[in-house]
Amino acid sequence: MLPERYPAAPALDVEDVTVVLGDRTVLWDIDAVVPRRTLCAVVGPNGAGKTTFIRAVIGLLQPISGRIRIMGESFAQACRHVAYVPQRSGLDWDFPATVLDVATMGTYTSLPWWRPMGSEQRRRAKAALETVGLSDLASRSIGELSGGQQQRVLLARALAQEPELFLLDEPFQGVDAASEASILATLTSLRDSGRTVIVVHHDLHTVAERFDRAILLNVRKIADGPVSECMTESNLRRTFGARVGFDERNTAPRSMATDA
Amino acid sequence: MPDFAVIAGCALAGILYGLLGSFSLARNQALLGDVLSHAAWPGLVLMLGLTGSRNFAILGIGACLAGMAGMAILDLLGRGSNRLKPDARLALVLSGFFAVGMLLARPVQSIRPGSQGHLQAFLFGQTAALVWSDVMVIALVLALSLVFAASRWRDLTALCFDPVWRQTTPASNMATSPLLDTILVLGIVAGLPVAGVALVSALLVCLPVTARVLTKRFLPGTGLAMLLGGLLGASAPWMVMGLESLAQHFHGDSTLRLPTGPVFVLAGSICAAGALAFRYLARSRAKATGAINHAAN
Amino acid sequence: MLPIEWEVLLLGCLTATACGIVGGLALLRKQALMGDALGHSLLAGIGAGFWLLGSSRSPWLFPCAVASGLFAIMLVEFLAKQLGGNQATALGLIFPAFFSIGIILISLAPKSAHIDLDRVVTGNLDLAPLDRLMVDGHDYGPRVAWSMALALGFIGFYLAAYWRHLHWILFDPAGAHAMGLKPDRALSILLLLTTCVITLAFETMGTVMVVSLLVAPGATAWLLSRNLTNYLLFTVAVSLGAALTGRFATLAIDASTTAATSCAALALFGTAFLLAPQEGLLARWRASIKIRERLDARLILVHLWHHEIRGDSEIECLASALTHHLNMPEVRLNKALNRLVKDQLAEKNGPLWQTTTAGTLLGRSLVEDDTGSRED
Repeated sequence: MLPERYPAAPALDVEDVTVVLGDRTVLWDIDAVVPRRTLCAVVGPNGAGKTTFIRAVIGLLQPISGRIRIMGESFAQACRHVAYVPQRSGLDWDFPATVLDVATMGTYTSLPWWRPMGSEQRRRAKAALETVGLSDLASRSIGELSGGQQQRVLLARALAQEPELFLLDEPFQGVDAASEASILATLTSLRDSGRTVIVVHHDLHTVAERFDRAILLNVRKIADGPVSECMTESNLRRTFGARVGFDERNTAPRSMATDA
Repeated sequence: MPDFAVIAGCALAGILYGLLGSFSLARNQALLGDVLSHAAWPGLVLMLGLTGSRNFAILGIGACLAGMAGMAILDLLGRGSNRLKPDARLALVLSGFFAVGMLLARPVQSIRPGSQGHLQAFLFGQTAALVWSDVMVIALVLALSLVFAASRWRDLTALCFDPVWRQTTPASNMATSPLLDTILVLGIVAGLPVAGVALVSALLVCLPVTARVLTKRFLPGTGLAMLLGGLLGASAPWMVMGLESLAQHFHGDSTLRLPTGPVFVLAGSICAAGALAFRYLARSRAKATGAINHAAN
Repeated sequence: MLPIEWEVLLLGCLTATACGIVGGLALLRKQALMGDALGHSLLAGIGAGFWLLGSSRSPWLFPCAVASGLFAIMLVEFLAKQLGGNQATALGLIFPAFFSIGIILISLAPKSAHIDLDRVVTGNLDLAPLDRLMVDGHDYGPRVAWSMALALGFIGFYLAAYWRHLHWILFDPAGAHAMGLKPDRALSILLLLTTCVITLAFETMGTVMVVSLLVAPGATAWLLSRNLTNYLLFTVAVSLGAALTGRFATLAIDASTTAATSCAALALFGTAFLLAPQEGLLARWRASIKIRERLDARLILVHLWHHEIRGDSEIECLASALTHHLNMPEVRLNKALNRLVKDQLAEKNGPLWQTTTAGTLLGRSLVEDDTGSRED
C-alpha cells in the first residue's frame, strides 16, 4: 500500500458540489467536511440525494460543478485508500460464489494479474470474515445467506481491502437487529483504530447514540458537524419536515421560479 | 464416421461457448448473444456480395463489424431515450439487423450466383460445410478468449458480480468490459458455421445454466460449462448421423440432411433441463424432510 | 379479382396491422421479446404436426403450432420462477429448445411433406397468395388474407369489449383484480390472440422478421404519443405505412417484400427515434443544451445565495475565485454570469458577485422547491 501524500488533509472534503441527473438537480451546491478518525452519518429523507452524494464521492457520477477531495487527492488518486460498500439489493446474489470468494475479492486490488492468490491474501480475507463473525460460513454459497449475513460479507470484502476510508450505502436496510449491532460494533472499532467511516443511514436514533458526526442532506446540505451540534430539532425539522418551509415557499414569486 | 474437422470444430465451439456463456449469464445478459448473432447476419451477406469469397475468415470480418455495429446501436438506443425498455431495444436490433441482411440477400444472390446454399448454411449451421480453415478460426478465437480470461480473471469476476464496486477499486481496468464484449462478438461469429445465426446464442445459455445449477463457485462452474460444451460438441456430429439414419430407416429417404445447430442446442437444453429437474427434486425433498424434522421438533 | 401484386399489398397491410396491435399491447406490458419466443416456439408444433398428419397443408397444423407456442410460454413462466425471476435466462433456454425440436422434426420429415427450411426463418410474403381459398371450385383469394382478416376482427372485438378497462388490465393487473375485473382472463385471451396472429404471420414473415412488425410500430408510437388511444392509432398508422413502403420499395429494387416491410417498419422507428418532437434524439439533445445553460446560471445563483446567508461570501463569491470554487471552466462560467446579469438576478459589486433581491428569492425558492420533492 502506498503512503498517503497529504496526511493532514481531511478524509473527505466536498466543496460546492452540484449534481444533475437528466434534467433534475439532485444535489444543490453541497459543502461538507469529514475529518479523519470519525464515524459520520449521512442523514436525510428518501429522495434527499444521499445515495447520489456517495456515488459522486466515489466518482460514479460526475458533478457539474464543485470539487471533491479524498484525503487531499482526487478519487482516482485516492481510490486505493477507499472501500465502498454498495447497497445489498443492487447485487445478484445468485452469482456462483462462496462467502470466502467475496471476501477475497477485496484483496484483488493488491495483486498484479499474473500473481496468483497467495497465503497473505487468504489470511486477509479470513481475518475480515472473522471480524464480521462469518468464519463458520466461509464455504457457504452467498445465495443461502440471510440479508444481514449478506451485508456482513460485503463489509468483510471492504475490510479485506484495508482502506483508510469506508463508504457504506444504507448498510442497515433489511438487516436483522443482531447483524445491525455487529456491523455497528465493527464500524466503531474501525474508527477507534484510526479509520474514517461514512455511512448513509436513516435511523436518527442510532445516529444520535453511536455516531460522531452527521451530514444532514435534503437536496441541499442542511447542516454538518458533530452530532451534538448539528442534530438540533430545528435542523431535523428542516431536513425531514417537508411542511416547515411551506409558508415561506408560497411567498416566493412562482413565475420567476419556473421561467428564469 | 463424421469428418474429424467437424468433430474438432464442434468441440472447440462448445468449449468457447461454455466460457463466454458463463460471463454473459453472470452479467444477466442471456439474450445479448441472440441479438449479436442476428446482428452479424447482414455483415455476412454484404461481405459475400462484395468479395464473392467463400472463405469464412473473410466473411467473418464483415460479420464481426456488423455485430459491433449492433452492439453500438443497442447502446445508442439505451442512451437516446429512457422511454424504450431494454426488451424492446433488444427486439428492435435483433429483427432490424436480420431484416437488413434479408433485404440484401436477394440482390447478393443475383450478383453472386450459387451463393444461396452457402448463405443458408449459416442460418442453422451445416457440418458438411465445415472445413479446416473454419476450425482454425474457432481455435484462434478460443485461444484469444482463454488468454483474455486467464489474464483478467479476477477483474472479470468482479465485473460479473459487482460492476459498481469494481469501478471504485484501483485494480479495475477500463478496457475489460469493452474487450469482453468484443470477444463475445468474435466468439459468436466464429461459431456461426457450427450452429448458425438462429441458434448459436442458445449455447451461450444452456451450457452455463447447467454448470451453474451443478456447482456453487464461478471458476469450477466455468470449467464445467467448457467441459460440457466440449463433450456435447464432440458428440453432436455423431448424434446428427444417428438421427439421419434413424429417419432413413423410417421412410427410406437417404438424401435427408440435418443441420448440426439444432441437435447441439437440443442436447445442451436436455442437459440444462436435467440439471434443473435434479435441483428441483432435491429442493422439494429437502423441503419435505425439513417439514418433517420441524414437525418432529 | 385483384391482381397478385395487390393481393401481396393487401396481405402485407393486414399482417402488419394485426402484428402491430398485438405487439404494441405486449410492448406496453414490457413483453417485447415474448413475440420472438412465440415465433420460434411454434415451430415445434409445426414439426410435430408434420409427422403426425403427414402433410404441410393440413388445417390442423395451426392448432398444433398455437398449442406449442402457448406451452412454451407456460414453461418460460414456470422456469423463470425456478431461476429466481430471471425471465431472460428462461426465455433463452426454452425457445431455442423448441425451435431446435421443430427444425430437427422438419428436416427429418419425408420429402413429400417438406418445406424449405430457410423459409421458416425468412418467410415469404410474395409467395403466400399462391395458397388460395377455394370453395366449391370458386376462388375467393389468398387463404392467409382471410384468416388474418378474421384475426383482425377478433382483435377489434377484443379491444371494443375491454376498451374501458384496458388501462387497468395492462398497467395494473392487481388493481384491476381489486376492482372486480378479471385481468387474468383478459390477458390470457390477449396471449391467445397474439399467438394466433404470430402463427398466421409465420408463413409470410418468418420467425425473426415478424418481431420487427410486432415491436417497431409500438415502439414508434411510444415515442410519439402520451395516451392509449393515440398510441394504438399511431401503431396502426406505422404498421400500414410500413406495409405500403415495403411493398412499393420492392417495385424499385429486387428484394424480398418480407424483408422490405420489416426494414420499412424499422426505418419509421429510426426516423421517430431521431426526430420525434419531444422524445427524439435531436429534440432531447437540443433541450439538454438549453437546460444545461439554464442550470449553470441557477447553480451559480444558488451558490451566491448560500454563501450570502452563511456570511462567507467574501471568500466564496469573489469574482476571481468563482471558477476555482465551482471547478467550472471560465467560458461556461462567464456565459452563465452574463445570463444572470441580463435577467437581473445577480450583479457585480466591486470584487464580489451578489444576488439582487429577485435573485435571492429565486435562489431560495429553487432550493426549497426541490427539497423533499424528488426521488433518488
